[in-house]
Amino acid sequence: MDTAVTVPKKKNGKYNLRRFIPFYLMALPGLAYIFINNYMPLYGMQIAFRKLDYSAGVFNGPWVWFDNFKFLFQTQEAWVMTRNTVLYNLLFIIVGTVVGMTVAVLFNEIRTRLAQRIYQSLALIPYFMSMVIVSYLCFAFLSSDTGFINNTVLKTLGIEPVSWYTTAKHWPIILLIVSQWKGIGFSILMYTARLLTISDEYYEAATLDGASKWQKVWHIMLPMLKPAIILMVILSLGCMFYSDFGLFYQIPMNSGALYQVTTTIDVYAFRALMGLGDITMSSAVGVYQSAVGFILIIISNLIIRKVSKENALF
Amino acid sequence: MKRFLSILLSVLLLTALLSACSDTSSPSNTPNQPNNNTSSTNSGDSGQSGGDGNDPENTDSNYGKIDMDEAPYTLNVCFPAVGSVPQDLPLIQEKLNEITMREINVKVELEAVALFSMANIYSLKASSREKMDLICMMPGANHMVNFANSNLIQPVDSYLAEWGSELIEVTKKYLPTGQLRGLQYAIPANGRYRSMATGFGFSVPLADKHGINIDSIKTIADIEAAFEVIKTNEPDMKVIVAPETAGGGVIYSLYPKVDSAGINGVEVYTDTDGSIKVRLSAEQPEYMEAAKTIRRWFEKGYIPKDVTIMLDGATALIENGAAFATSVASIGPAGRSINNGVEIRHMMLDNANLMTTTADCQLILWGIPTTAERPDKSMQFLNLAAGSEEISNLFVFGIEGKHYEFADNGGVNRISGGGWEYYWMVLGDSFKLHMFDSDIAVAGGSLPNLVAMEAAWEADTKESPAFGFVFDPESVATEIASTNAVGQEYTTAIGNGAVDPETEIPKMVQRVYDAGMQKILDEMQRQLDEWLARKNG
Repeated sequence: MDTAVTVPKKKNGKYNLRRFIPFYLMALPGLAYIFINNYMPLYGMQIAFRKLDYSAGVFNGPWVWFDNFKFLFQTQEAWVMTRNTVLYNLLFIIVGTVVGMTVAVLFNEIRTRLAQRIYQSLALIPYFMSMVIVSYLCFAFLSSDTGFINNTVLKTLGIEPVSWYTTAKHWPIILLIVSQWKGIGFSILMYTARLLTISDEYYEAATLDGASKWQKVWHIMLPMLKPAIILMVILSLGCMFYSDFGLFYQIPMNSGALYQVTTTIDVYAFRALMGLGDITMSSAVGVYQSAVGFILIIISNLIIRKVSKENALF
Repeated sequence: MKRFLSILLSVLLLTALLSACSDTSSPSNTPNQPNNNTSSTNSGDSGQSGGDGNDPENTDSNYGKIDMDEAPYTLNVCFPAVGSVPQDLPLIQEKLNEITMREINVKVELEAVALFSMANIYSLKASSREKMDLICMMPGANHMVNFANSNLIQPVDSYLAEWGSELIEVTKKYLPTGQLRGLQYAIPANGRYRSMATGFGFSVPLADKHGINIDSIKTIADIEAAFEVIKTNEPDMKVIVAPETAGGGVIYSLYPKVDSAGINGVEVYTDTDGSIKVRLSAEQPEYMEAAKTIRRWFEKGYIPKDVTIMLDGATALIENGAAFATSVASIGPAGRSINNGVEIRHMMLDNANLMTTTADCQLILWGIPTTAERPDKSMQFLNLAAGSEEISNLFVFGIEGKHYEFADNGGVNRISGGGWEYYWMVLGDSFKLHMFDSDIAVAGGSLPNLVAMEAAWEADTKESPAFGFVFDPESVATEIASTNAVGQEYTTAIGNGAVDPETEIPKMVQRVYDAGMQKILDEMQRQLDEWLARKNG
């Protein structure tokens, strides 16, 4: 095992690649997957710049360059969906990190191993649930006539029922709650794994010095969690321009009155294709997403390099 | 970094390689060639065609002769279906092939296409060059122009002239509805009555239960009285729901039928000075009036609160006794429909505008894809079906004795569980069809009465001033995409009363103008004026 870690150098200073062949072979299926799924479709991007012409084949239509993009910028659509995508992602990253970390620290305080395992597994169940199922769970809560919130909660409190699926202003909160409820199990898992690696010696030493519970959390757990937090944030930043389609399309049940707060780029691209039936215009949406997403990753990486160089992606 | 660059380079090279492959592999497109070949290599005599006395076709010497000696051509025909494909499709296809092999030397391969994803299926098939010889577009108004502008379907004038004698005879004055820029891109199917009215449908069992006389409902006040009875007696019932096919919601039952010339929200009208103009429906006071009525119904609880995300179909709700009324866009002379044994009686308001528009006649359009190998064969098949009583009936009713049987009054009844139930008159000539026993029953049990009812309906129907006009949206495609995106946000909510029309309608109008509506209206007016000048002069 040791030999794999200390890399022997050749005379001219180059690494001996032969030793790494097994590792490359291991990576091959993954690389092939990425190539087929992420690189080959790049060729199709040209459709967004062409006129649709089936008789010549979709890749042979005349070039129209940016004509297919015009409808995006004709109105404020491009702005609304970009704003929604970025702001929701920022919100989810911040709230997700804080909530995930807090709950993980709390879970860590549960002394009965069995109880901790059970709670953790329960928290993880929603993560594996399909958004379509979640959307019906939400409907059971939010339905105007039969929903739990209107019929039980608001009625008991003596508040007028709300028509949830036509009132846009509540949806940022609803979507936040749903996304956190669904995603929390996974972030707890990440943070708990990290917390378990903290040696008990730290806590014992702190106890000897008379540190309170709160001080242990603040001065031991949080600093130890920092790399995990940064990793999670970077992973989310990389997906800044992608939204969870299921969350934004299924949960509001595609209700038109909510479009202003639920339309993200993915949702818009889907609706554009289904509604327009025009491949070129809907791929224009996709290209716009990729282009702005690329710029965003470069920018966020620059920022991370400034803050903590060893955590930057490149 | 160096390794990264080399990987990147190899990726780029591979991509270039792939693109080179696909460039060379795309087949050359020469749709006209086979047609010329067939007509020139034809020997004068075409064997036994037309000898059975079944459907005398192509006897006119002006039209082409079908080559019966070549190997039979397999024709892929796509037709719309909702839900599952009827199980006896292979039987129908076999029966159909007996006729087509005999008459036009063609083996037909029927392919059911899901109605709601039709555009996507056709465009996928066309881009992957899957075999596709004849496609049915429904509703054609949504598809034809887009398909024509993206060269998915081709102009068929020459094939129509050579092989379409029966088709021209049967479709006559409706042919222009399949034209764009003076070229015939599609052939309209021959519907029995072309104009359907919009209005309401009421569940007869529920009306009987609560002592409501549907026939006496004439005005909005009558409707509201009936709704109130239902609401009081069955508080949990959805009183009125709009079907999912109606993007606009319940409002289209109240607002008179308009000729939108293919653009949502636009209407063509005759101005006071007799000139023909276009305008936005949402700006009309009548629209606001109708929206307010709908809003009142929503607030009184007649329309379910979650109407913008309706999970169940309107017809299914009525069938199961969970809803009382629905909006109907397909009211015909019979004035009712029966769904799974539940009768829904139709009713129109006084302002209902019985009018035939271009879009009505475009409901079912047949087009020949540019990827079709033998457009002449596609046209021959359409022509054969148009002239054949056998094919027309086969496609709707199935096989006699197995799928349907004759009743005493000359009408037919489906045999339940027979394996073939197809509702749309897509293929052939509907005037050659049998009549449903139940339709005849509506007309007092006699076939002549029903025919008279339909004739009266046709007589009451006037043509839209823009009948035959097909708008070419290509120059304003951007604006149409933008305004449609805005429209999606508002129409369902406003049309079902889920939001206050007095604040939302002005907002919507403002936003569609921001999205370029004026440019669309101007362009449509320009094309309309040109079309009128050509028509009149």
